[in-house]
Amino acid sequence: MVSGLMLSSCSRSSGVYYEQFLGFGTLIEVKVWGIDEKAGQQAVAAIADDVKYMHETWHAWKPGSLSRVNQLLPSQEKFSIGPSVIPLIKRASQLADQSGNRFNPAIGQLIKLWGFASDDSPKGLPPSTDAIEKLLAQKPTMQDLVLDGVQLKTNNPAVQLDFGGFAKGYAVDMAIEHLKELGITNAIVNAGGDLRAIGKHGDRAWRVGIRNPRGEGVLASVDIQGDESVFTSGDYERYYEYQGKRYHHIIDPHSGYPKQGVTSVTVFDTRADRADAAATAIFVAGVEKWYEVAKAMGVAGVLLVAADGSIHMTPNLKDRIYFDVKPVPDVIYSEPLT
Amino acid sequence: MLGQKLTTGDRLLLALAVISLGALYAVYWGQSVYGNQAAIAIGGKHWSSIDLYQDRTIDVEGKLGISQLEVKDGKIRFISSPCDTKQCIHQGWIHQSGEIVACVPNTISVRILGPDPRFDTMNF
Repeated sequence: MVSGLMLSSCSRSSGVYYEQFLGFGTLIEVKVWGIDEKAGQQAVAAIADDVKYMHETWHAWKPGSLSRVNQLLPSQEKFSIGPSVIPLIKRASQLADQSGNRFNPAIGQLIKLWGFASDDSPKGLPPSTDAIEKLLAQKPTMQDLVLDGVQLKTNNPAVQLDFGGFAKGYAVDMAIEHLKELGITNAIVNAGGDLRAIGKHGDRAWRVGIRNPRGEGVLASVDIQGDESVFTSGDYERYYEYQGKRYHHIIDPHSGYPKQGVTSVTVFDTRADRADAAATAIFVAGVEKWYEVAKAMGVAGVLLVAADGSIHMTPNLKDRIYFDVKPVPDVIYSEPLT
Repeated sequence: MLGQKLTTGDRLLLALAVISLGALYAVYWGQSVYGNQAAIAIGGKHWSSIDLYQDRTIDVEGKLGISQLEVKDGKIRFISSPCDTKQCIHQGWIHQSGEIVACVPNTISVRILGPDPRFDTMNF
């Protein structure tokens, strides 16, 4: 029998301060090397406050600044928006443009139609073809937004913003910047499996395990180089099955359906917000066009696991990725990204 | 010694050396890779550290209700949970130090501990 004693939320071992908390609807872990417990607690408390604020402000459907934006957008009139949402809209628009709208936060209605806007998994039937086609015909994109100072409007009443594929990355960037401002140079912030790391673990690099998207255990390991983000989008994260078919949460904005042919995409980049958006966009691009989208978005590296089990990778990861699965998979290398 | 045939004693000594090396590897390096303890947290707060070599099931009460964990042969997994998605159960066994499995809706996480973790963090 295990006792149910509540102990401290943090731990410190081998020079690392560790703490976890819940935020953005997921588990957030913070590791800091070479810091005392008091400073570690203060740093994580500051991040936790930031995350709570960002989650409340940027939630697409729960009451907050972004849900207010979504309520007012269909009016097609100009309205003032909260200053915290402005940089998010600007950055997301830029990344959506670079991705050819494969990353498209303006398809909030489509996400809602599929049932993935809620914290719970959807139950029952997939949406009807008619309902999907009706939304697609209106072609909502971030380019439909007109931002003038603090005033926003759109002429497309189908635009509803959902930053689910991006806000977490943006928040991880802000958390790392906050740690840097506090003088911390060696840390990891991991939000539900997506992370950015800076510096090192003492005299060695931070070690990251990439979970096997099919089956148990670890697909590969990689050592972090300096300041680096590692973000993965996979069809196993949120899904439901209907009549033997899996419907996952990564919706192709062009077809209106969950993208098929890809199991997971792991993106390496300095910036977490770009890695987050690119992981979605490259997943949607599929095996045929992933390289093109990765290059257009300017990410540093990509590891793509296709539905047939084949692995596609940028050549700069060749000497860094160590596969943990047996037999070691054959890898199809792309041209260099730069 | 060179050019001479190995005696039975030599062979036994060599075999013993190889077995000892294997045992030392398992004890000193293997345990750091395959952690022997797991830390369970509820709502981000540490709840208990458990021995992964004591086979049993453990009931942990989270925000939604009871999640059940199975511990066996140095591994641990969720076998039931009152969450909607069951992602925690689908993830299966974890055993390498640094691996983590969580039932976010029920606010329960399990992290494998080890003196020199194989992984500092997990990406998924």
